[in-house]
Amino acid sequence: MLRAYEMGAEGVFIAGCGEQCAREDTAFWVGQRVEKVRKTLVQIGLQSERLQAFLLGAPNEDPARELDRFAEEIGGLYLASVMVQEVKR
Amino acid sequence: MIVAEQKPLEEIRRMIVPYERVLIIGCGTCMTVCGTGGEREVSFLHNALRVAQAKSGNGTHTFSEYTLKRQCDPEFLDLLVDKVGDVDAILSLGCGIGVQAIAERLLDLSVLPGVNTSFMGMASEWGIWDERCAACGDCRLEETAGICPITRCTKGILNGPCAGTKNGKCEANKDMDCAWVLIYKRLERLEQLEKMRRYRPPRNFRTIPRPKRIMSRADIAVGGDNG
Repeated sequence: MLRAYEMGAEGVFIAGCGEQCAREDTAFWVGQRVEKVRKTLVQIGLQSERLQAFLLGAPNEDPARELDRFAEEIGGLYLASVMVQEVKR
Repeated sequence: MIVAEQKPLEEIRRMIVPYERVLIIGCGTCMTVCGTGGEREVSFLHNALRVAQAKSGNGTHTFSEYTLKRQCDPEFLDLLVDKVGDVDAILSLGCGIGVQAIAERLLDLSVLPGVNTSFMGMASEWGIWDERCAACGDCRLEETAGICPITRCTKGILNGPCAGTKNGKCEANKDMDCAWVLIYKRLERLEQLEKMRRYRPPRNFRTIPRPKRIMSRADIAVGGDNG
């Protein structure tokens, strides 16, 4: 997830299948990871709102609408000048 | 196992300021299990440091990463020799033992601790670790039904419970079970309550010098069996 910010992304939206997922406890594990990255974003100086997860839970939920809302929300945040940096390993 | 927690990113960034090329080293045993310094955490920290540097715009660090199976064993540390030729410092996500082991092996390199080594403990549930052993070198668990009063009693008293226990909880922390109530209940279950009546003299800390050393080499040389 952090790699996206390094490459210049203003936000990361994670879409998942939630309770309908064939794997167990998806929401819990996604939640754990998202929370960890959010805390790190704050330490880095980026707003935690720049990372959001949407796990489809009910048939009437619309991921596309959530994505639009997310894009609108992060568009209103101060755009941190995260520069693309050559990945050196 | 040894349990630790990662230092705040800000503290790590302060530590690495003087060094341009930093090698982040993880440990494949305890730090992996407690989710603090394994391969995944090394990779995560690596990315976080790069993003933080890119955002601040004033860093010139380059990072690399590597995870040893164990940082506390000389045979694994030998694997590092070929990897540190072009680094200025090592950021270890191993416990305090790992940091010191690397420092002893690589004499010309600065070794920085990326975690705060906290205690020896066990997972009570996923993501929650509880201290269980103080490595005091004078184990009394036989007398206390396998429950350590040194670590699990906030006062570390050997002849409990104290007067502060109430409804099985500790007066210092109402959410924490009183270790001596646990000991009593377990001794009762084991039909060994007579052990509660024994007086346990104060421990003589002078007989537990530090740093400790255990030598089993002689046993190995004569083909002895330690277990």
